[in-house]
Amino acid sequence: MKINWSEPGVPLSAAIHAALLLATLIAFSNTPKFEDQPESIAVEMVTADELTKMTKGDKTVKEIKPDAKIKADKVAEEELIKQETADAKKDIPTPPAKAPEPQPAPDPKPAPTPPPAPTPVAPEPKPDPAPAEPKPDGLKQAPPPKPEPKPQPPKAEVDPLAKLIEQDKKAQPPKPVEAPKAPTTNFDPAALQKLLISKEAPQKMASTAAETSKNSAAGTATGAAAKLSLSQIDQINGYIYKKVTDCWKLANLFPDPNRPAPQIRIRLHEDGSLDGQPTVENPSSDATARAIEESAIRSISGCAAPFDMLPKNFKTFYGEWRSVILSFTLKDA
Amino acid sequence: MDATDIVAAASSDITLWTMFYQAAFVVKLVMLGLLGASIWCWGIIIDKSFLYARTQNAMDRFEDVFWSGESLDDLYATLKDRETHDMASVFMAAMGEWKRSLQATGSSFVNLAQRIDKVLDVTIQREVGRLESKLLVLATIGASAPFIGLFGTVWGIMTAFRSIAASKNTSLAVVAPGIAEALFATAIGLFAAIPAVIAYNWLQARAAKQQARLEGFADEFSAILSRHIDERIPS
Repeated sequence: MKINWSEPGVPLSAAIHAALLLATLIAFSNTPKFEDQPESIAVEMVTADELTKMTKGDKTVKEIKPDAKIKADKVAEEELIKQETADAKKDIPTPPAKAPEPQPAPDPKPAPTPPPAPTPVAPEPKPDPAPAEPKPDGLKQAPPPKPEPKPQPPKAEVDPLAKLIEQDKKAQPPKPVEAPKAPTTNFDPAALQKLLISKEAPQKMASTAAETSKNSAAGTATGAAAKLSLSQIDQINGYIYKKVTDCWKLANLFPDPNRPAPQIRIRLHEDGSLDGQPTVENPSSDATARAIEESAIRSISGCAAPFDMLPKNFKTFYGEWRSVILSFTLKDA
Repeated sequence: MDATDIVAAASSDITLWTMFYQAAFVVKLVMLGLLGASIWCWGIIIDKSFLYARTQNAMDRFEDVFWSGESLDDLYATLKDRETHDMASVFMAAMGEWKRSLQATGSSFVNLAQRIDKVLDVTIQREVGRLESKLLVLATIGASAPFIGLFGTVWGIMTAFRSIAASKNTSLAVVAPGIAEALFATAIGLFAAIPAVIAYNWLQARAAKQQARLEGFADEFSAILSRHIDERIPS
């Protein structure tokens, strides 16, 4: 293409554009990246104490009642820690809340009781031969005839009872036949078959707690609001305290019993093992006091360490004894 | 464009080239058209700037010569063999008419002044037309380039949103490349339009000034010639 120098516009402009484009290509080649900022997540602080005090939740609850309790259908016979289960994927039939107890007719009940009656009576003759044997070991052989008349009267007593039993047995035979009939009235073969077919754990059990409550509070599914009573706290402290003092063998090393008692905080895992080293709450600058503190810590971490003797039912209140302060006086040592 | 392409593009660096290369066909067309318009527009601006500068110089030189007292016949004779522009061509057109009327016999002087005025008008129109040619292109580019760029942007964003719908992913990394490409079209449109508008106004003003100067010269020359005519007409 021949350039017309009187009108150099288009080629000149094309050249300038090409140069400009090249410059911008170079300028754009390294795009400045934003500094990586992790996405902020709103966090609500919940203390461990609040977490353990949280109550079992119910999504359908509209308002939170201050005195809400765990939903419970019946009173528990024994306290147990419930495990959280994953969402059920199968429809597993729920067993009835109460196992259908067979209601036997009132009459058969008295029937079993008489048979034991003869047994307590029967032992009575037995002691009598026993004393008879040691006596021959003694030199005199004359006394033996004496005990002999004694067994006789009991035998006479047995007889009327035996007669009564025999009479009862004769009278009762038709009644046991009636007894098996009674449970059949409550028997539902369909429900039984349903239960037999399903091998898995039932989806829903009748929930139990210390007391029944129809509505549950809003909260976590696992949390159960429960507080240790003062005596229970004393009990836990007592367990720990005893185990520590059993280990601390520095009784007579310190002359001054009026020193400030070292206060030592121990943190525990749920299984009773130590969570980190124990720490001194009131560290002292005095060398002797420090020696006492260190010996106390050593005795805790080295000797008394796993506090696994805590009763299992205290695990529910882990929040209460997660961190314990022990206060020592030298008398304890 | 496929959703996977967008995700792939998001992972790679976004350069000017990838922005162009990954754009939809329509957006590419718009970008190329606007780039061409920008080149053409700047070509016109450069040409016109040179032309007006040259015209300015030529007018200055011609007026110097014209008012130097040199004989108009001599000036006509020197310019006769040359290619003339603007003021010189106006002068040549009027002198040509004057000469032809003198050489002709009879009462051609009667309407000579009118004829000279006509010839001057026509020549001025032609010269001004030459000066102002292609300025309308600048006006058109200045007015329409932003809209063309906006069209490319809208199309690109439409494509980006369709990709979002297809990939069912609304993360910014998926959306960003498509929108960057789309906005690139508007950027080019504005890049072409802004100089075009400014240059159009500037060049238009210069052309109008030069047109006024030509008309002023034509009026003066027409007055001179009519005086000569009046002298020659036997009363």
